[in-house]
Amino acid sequence: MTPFRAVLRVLLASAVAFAISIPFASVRSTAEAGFTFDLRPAGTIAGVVAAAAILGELVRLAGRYLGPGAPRDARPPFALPAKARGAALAAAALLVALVPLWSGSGTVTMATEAMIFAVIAVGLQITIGMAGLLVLGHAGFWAVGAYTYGLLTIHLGWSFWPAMAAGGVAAAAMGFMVGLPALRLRGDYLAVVTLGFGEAVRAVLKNENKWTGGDANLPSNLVPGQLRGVQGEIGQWIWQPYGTPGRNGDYECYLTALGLLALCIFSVVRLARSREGRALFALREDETAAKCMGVDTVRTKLLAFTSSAMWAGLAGALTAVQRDSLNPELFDFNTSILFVAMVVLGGLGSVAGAVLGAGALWILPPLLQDWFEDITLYRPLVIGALMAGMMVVRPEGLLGSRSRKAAG
Amino acid sequence: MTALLEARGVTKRFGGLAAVSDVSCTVAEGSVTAVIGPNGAGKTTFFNCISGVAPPTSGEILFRGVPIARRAPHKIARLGIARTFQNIRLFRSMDATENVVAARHCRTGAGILDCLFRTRSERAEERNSRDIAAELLEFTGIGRWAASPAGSLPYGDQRRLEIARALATEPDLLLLDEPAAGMNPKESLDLVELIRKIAARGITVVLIEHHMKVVMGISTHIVVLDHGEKIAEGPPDAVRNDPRVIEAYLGKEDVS
Ligand SMILES: Nc1ncnc2c1ncn2[C@@H]1O[C@H](COP(=O)(O)OP(=O)(O)O)[C@@H](O)[C@H]1O
Ligand SMILES: [Mg+2]
Repeated sequence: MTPFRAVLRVLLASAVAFAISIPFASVRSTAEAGFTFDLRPAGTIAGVVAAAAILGELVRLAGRYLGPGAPRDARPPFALPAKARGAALAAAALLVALVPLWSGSGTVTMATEAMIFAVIAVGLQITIGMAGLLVLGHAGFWAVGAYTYGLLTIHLGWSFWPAMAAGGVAAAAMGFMVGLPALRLRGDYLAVVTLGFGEAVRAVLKNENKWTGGDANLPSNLVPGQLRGVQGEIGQWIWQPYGTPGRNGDYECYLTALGLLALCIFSVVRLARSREGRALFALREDETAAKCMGVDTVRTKLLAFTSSAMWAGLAGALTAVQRDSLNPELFDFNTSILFVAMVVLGGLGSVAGAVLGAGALWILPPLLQDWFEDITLYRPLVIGALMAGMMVVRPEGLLGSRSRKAAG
Repeated sequence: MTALLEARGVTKRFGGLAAVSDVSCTVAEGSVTAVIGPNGAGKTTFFNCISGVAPPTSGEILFRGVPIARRAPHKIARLGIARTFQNIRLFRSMDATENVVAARHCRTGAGILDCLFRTRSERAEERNSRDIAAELLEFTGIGRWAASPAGSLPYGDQRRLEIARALATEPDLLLLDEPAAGMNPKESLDLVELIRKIAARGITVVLIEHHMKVVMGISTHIVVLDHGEKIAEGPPDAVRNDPRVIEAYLGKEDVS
């Protein structure tokens, strides 16, 4: 991959985006003025695409050293020494943590949501991307985490941190239980079973009125500011820069989501480049061969299901805090598909890809809403087309390793 | 010589078809045993029975006197039986080194917490696995492919990588399913050399092979299967001249 070709790819991507978006974004028909023509929206879209492409090229380069199956001591030639890298990471994290200080609350909410989705997508990468187990009902685990959190805080008065942990544990237990019957299933059958699980969770939440509120919503955020679980002087010190709690504890949610995402990325990256992660990849590549090399497939698959569900559960707890209320419809099949799309778009097995996929599919549509007013309406269509397109152009995903292709 | 592996009346049925039928034989420790027979004779199925991939319908298999016929493949691997596959089954998108390191799963023990915290023992284990992988890639003559995706290796070298991966499990018994399939004569000769080196390491080898040059060149013992049944067994010279073998199999080919 020469720099020249990377530049060419970026230019090509933005040119194509420009050309395609002209008829949609630049031509408007209004009752008064007839057709109007304005190139600026198309130019903005091309700019956004170029920025995304540059980012993609950078991460892709990094992916050759950090991607699935890369030896863990491999370092890019331009890598900083360990100490400087740590400092740079810490500085970046601090910068991101301070974003809410100057950005609007809408941005904070959207960023929080994107980070929550990124946690789910990175967790889902363990089953779909690493172990090659197609899970189509992942929203079910998200729901289990969210409702566990909501029920414990509302009905039993639990505080934030223990209730969040309980959400993760409940979802993990559910993942284990779904994993048991799924052990004997492969491919399509597994997909159908997990899909059924997701829909069953939604149906239960919807029909159980006494505790979950059913269709009438579970008012999840009864206790704003509860996130300030760290009390006393240390707590004062930690939260003081954020002033008074936002309406829903927005800033605290943002920070907690950031912390959870960092923890999630850290542990899934470590998992991917360890003995257990290698067993997951081996399982994906060839189950029979993996068994014959000593991989206990039952244990390994259950590990994948359980840990993947746990991340969705932890994310669910945050969602419960962040939203005013929980409605079962939030956790429907479309959401599960969206999660899968995030993973596939980013690249199977790639942690950075999952983050990118989550960001792209959650943040881009609302941003583009200025130009395509009905874009959220068309989201399923767009995602479907995107997936089909990816299969043809880049089956390994944006940041996946190319090696399958090289294998011919 | 003592028996490392003993098959007792091993039978494997697929519906009405007995792919392996009442096969009994022993593999002596330190030997190179060849399993030969026409296509569809049940050789691969026999390997599947031994390695636990497809447990026998009836009969028993003893490894060092321990019954293994109904054990899971990963447990059998841990006991010290490794195998390669006739239709190559590499972890295609992982590089050659990772393929071999993945097979160390058998002999390593880092759990999920060790992996997350990268404990001292986990790091030592990883380093050791990488050293072993590098050594095995050199040993099998594919060191130059260490960082290449397994699926992109030339065909013959993929077969060698399968052998390196199997060796990484530190087996006492190595099952090779048609390791020379698709190789040219020169590559086959090199392979014979490699199998000799493996045997010299004290590893007992059982191989399924069609190339008679390979079989006669290295095996100390031959088992002949036909239609799932064992029709002959013995040292190469005796088997070569056995009338049943000539009729069933070798008669169609050049024996020399
Ligand atoms: N999984 C299976 N299901 C049904 N029949 C099988 C299966 N595996 C092998 N067979 C049949 O068993 C017989 C022996 O096959 P195999 O062991 O592959 O022969 P060989 O390796 O000697 O060429 C063949 O007739 C084959 O079709
Ligand atoms: Mg065969």
